[in-house]
Amino acid sequence: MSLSPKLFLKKMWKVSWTRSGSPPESNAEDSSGEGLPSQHSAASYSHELTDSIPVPIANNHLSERQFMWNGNGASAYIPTSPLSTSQISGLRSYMQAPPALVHSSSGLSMPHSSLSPPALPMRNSMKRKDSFVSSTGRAADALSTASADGRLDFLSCLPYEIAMVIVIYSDYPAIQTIAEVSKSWRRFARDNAVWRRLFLQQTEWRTPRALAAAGCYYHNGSKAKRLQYNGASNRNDVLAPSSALTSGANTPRVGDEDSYAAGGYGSDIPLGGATTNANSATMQRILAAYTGSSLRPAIALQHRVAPSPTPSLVSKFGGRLVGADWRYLFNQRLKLDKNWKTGVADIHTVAGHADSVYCVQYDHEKIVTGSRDRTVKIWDIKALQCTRTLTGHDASVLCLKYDDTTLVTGSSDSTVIVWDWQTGDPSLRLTSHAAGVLDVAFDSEHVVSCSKDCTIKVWRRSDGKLLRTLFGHRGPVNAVQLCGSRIVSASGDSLIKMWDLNTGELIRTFAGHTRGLACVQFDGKIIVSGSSDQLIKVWDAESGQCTQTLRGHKDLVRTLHFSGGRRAVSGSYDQTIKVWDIVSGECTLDLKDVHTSWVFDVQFSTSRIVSTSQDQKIVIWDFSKGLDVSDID
Amino acid sequence: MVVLQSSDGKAFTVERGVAIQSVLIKNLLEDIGESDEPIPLPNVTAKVLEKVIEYCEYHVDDPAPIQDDLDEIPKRSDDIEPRDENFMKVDQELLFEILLAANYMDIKPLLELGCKTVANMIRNKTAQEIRTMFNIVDDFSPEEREQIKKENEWAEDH
Repeated sequence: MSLSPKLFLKKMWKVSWTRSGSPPESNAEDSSGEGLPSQHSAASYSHELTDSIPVPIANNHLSERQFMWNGNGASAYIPTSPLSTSQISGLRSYMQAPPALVHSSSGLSMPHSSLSPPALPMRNSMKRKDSFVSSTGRAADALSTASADGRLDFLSCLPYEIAMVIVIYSDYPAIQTIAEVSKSWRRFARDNAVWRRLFLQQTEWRTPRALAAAGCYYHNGSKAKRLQYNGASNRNDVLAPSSALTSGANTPRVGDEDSYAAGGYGSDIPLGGATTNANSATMQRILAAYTGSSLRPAIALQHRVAPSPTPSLVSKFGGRLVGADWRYLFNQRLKLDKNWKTGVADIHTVAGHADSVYCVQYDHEKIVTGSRDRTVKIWDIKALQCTRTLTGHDASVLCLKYDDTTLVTGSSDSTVIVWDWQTGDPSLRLTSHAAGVLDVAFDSEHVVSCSKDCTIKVWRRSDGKLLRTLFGHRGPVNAVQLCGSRIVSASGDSLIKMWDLNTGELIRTFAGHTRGLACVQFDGKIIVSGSSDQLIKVWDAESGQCTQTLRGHKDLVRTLHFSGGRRAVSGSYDQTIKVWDIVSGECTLDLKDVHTSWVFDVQFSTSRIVSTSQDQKIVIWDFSKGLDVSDID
Repeated sequence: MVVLQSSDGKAFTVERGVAIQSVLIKNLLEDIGESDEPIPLPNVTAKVLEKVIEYCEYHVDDPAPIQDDLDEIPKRSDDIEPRDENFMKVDQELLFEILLAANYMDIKPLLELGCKTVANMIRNKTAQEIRTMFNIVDDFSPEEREQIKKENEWAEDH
């Protein structure tokens, strides 16, 4: 089987770029240090290749390569190496070709290319060019100060993409330390991809907004995301004028890189800082073995340290084009977590209901509450004003759930009302329960309600048809959750039961609480329950085992919120709200002396807790004090 | 069997399954078919190639690496098998060369192992300890040091 040069070339191209993602090896004579390669994507390389750059060719298949590489007719460098007709010697040449190929593509000058001057990337500024010239000079200086004891500055000497993998395997404290090691190391600790990674490693931080920020260029390359640095004074002069921000709105950028350069700090750091290392000689020796070159390090450095003016960085490990400043987001999120630990929160109290507030749900815009005063009220979460009052129930509104299109409420009038958000009128009234409806849940097709009548009912969401009634509890069913095809219910009979939504079959009973249950939460795997025995229990839904018991409340645990992750928030008749780490079992925060009566309902999000009480108040605990959580909550 | 030839001319005869853990070699063999001719690796010395082959022989029965979305899976460096950890107990020079060779030969698990090894060397060390370990000169000016301190404080509170 004979080797097709073109095919082989493609393979090598792929191997040396898209697969390994590493910068090129290069030949000694090829690097004068004039050209300034930045972190191009493979795409930008190939673009330059076919557009403008003459390519040295170390082999005999000139015509094919010209076709591939010099589409616009730019001349090619023809080497003096003897041609060979045997397959293997051709192979040998190929094995060496990719480095040369890639090297030339990076915009370095072409030593033997007398036919055409090398095309330098035009977008590199003079400033950067100067930095490189000087850093190259320092590299030469450094060579004379040898330290051949075998120690090596790995990050500085390795090709950027490989060094980045090392950094990406480092944890947060290590990355903080990396920033303090040297100028060259500091650049790694400021790489946006590192912080994006650190952020997304925290599974609990992956809120819809954070994920949207993470994917904004992946899904929509034209949508630019700008973040204001309002968290640190030293960032103020770093910010470009707003006009500059908006004028560049269509150009995604790697925030950190640019902002540091703009702020002067980054630009003060010689871009070739690494070359001052005394161990260059060792490095030199090794690299020479790989490339036959004494200037290989300079290439690596240039690749690493020249930030692309436009963020064309698409490295395999760095991920996608990123618009958000992940170090900033990471720090905001870290501070937010600290506020949750220390209880630093702005507390807002909202009054307006004429009686106990039994239930609450909120989002970024609004808070929805149900009260003993028989109304449902909608509040603007920023202005804290009531924007709407819904009436329809003939008794207390005990429970509610909503999504974008629908609001479902249950009442001590024994009915469930499905409301039309648009008109604010009831669109369906579900009337089959024999006593008060204590909790509701719904998905796209079903509404599930539970009642003081000891039953759970499953209704068709579209028309309110009663599909089935689940019997089994021997006491009032105080709480119900729906996740996938599973219903989880908690009853005054002190049991939790898991049911199949579609068949109504009882799947499992969880026993362990010694008194009646008031609340239950279920994320598909974990069940968290609160009881009149003052305990909160964490259960493995699959095995039925109680994995954790949370102690601290001094009265009935009336309400819980948990939606995956480690955090759960509870509200009790002891008038406190507690935040728990359900894995360690530790109470991480105890909020008291705000509600003056029983806490009835609680919900939390990334930055807030909203609670309601018999004291008729709605309380908002905002932990994002002084922070910008617009992209992380 | 496949013959690999190091830059300094030494030939290594290895099982095909060992050799094709290098994606470079794998693609090559796919293109040229089986051949008795040695495959030249002009970027890898015999010393390093021997080590790389040793790794590939260890891992010849490993399942193919999962095509993970590297972005979403948390990176850990504390999951190195004892055998691999021992394998990586080499001087910095050789470790460095292994990294370059793994990259050149496109052996992703070996590259990651090497990177994890270096990451573990860095972990739980002070900046000065890192400088000493890798022979790095602290090239910050006092102002820059102050600036970095401020930045890290800003990020502090962990």
